[in-house]
Amino acid sequence: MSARVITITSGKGGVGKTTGVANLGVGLALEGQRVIVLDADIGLRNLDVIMGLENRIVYDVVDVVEGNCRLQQALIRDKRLPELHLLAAAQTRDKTAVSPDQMASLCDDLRSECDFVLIDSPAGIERGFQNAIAGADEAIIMTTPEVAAVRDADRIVGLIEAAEKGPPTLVINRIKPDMVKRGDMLATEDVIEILAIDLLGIVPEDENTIVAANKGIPIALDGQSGAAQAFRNIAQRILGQEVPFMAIAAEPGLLGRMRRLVGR
Amino acid sequence: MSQKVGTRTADGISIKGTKEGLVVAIGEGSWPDLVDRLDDDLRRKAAFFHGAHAMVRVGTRELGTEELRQVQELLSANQMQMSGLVTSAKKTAEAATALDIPVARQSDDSWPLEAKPHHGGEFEEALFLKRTVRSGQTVQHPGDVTILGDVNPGGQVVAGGDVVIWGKLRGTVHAGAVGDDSCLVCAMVLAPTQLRIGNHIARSPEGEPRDPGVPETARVQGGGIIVEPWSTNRP
Repeated sequence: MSARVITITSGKGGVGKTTGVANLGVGLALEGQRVIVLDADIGLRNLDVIMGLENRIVYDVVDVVEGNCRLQQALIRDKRLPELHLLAAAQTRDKTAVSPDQMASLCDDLRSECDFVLIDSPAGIERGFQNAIAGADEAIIMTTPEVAAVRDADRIVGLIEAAEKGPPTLVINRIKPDMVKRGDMLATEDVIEILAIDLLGIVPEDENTIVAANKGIPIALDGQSGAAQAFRNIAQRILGQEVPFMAIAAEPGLLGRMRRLVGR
Repeated sequence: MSQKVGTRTADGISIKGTKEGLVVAIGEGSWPDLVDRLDDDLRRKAAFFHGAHAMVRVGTRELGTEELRQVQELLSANQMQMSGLVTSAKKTAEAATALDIPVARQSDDSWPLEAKPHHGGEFEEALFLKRTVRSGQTVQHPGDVTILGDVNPGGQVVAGGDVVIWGKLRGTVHAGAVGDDSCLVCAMVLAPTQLRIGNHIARSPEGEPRDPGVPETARVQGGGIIVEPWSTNRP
């Protein structure tokens, strides 16, 4: 048994990578997959907070790499889903505490422990990002429908192609249906048009996501809202299931279309 | 290319100083041997080459990103930089562009390459690339450049000659980069962030991205850059 190692990355910060990793981890675990979510954002760890596992951390990824503990000791089992585990980042160190080679061999060690390793990449294109993709088989690019986020995502796609990780897939997060309808936000097709990679999922902006994250309960656990369903859909697509995309105003409304036409 | 200083060893590594700069040529032989030899040569002459930018020629040899990284690392270990790569192998050219190394193509039968005249200057052959030039990537080539794909915002193409984009141009292009105002830029959708031809600069009008719906050509006329539909300006 060898796990798929998938890095979730974006270039730009604040697009929802960490929330995405937590929810995709939950989504895959709900499908019965054994999942390890790995926080590669050393020095600025967040994934544990969003998953509500902060108070259970004894050992972290740096401890494992430096041999202060066994791998098994550092894997924190989720309190709700027995198939879901967290390997936390160190909070007291920085990105240089681990090298890309060490991350690659850590990922290889994790492969035999589960079905999926999901890596939460830090923002940026420097060492932290290099660490996050070193051991990955594939990458999911997360972006929001904003020009700056798409620009950074494009840069990351180029770097992932250069690292020979194969073509990444795309998740567009925090789509605001009203704004798309009015033609005030990049539509899904605009984003895909620039990035030219396959769409894995679209997630609507949803206040419940933030509320849930603050409580340490990933929304995909039992939420009925749009974002919860969207993350579970993405998890199913990762498993190769055909799930239709949600209708989050994928098409701009009539007024929005007219404005776009006139704008040109 | 008149004055040449440097050495040629029997082992397929040649390091030459030319008017255009330092040229490292990697010829016949097994790759590990060549890497060792290059390491030796660079080390021995490190003081002499310190801080230099080297053009690396690899002829028809097929190299991947790993091997190219090896060469980059050897050069940087000796305080040198790879300014570009000359190759006739498609695989090598693709690996180099993946690493953001500027690539120049050369034809199979003329190694070492002699420059060919183009727009009155001395340039390499045209470069054909089949990929998207993404944000942060630069394609740099002394001759003409054709790209089958888009040039995205934040991407850059710098060419000594003409630039043809068979796709959407939304990044920055500089045609005739050595000061040749006679060069053209053509694109299926010409909506660059900034356009430079020779010594002229233009930018797209502010506001919504333009999409005229027809392929267009940009050229210099009357001291500025003008844009016309391709159909009215066929050479």
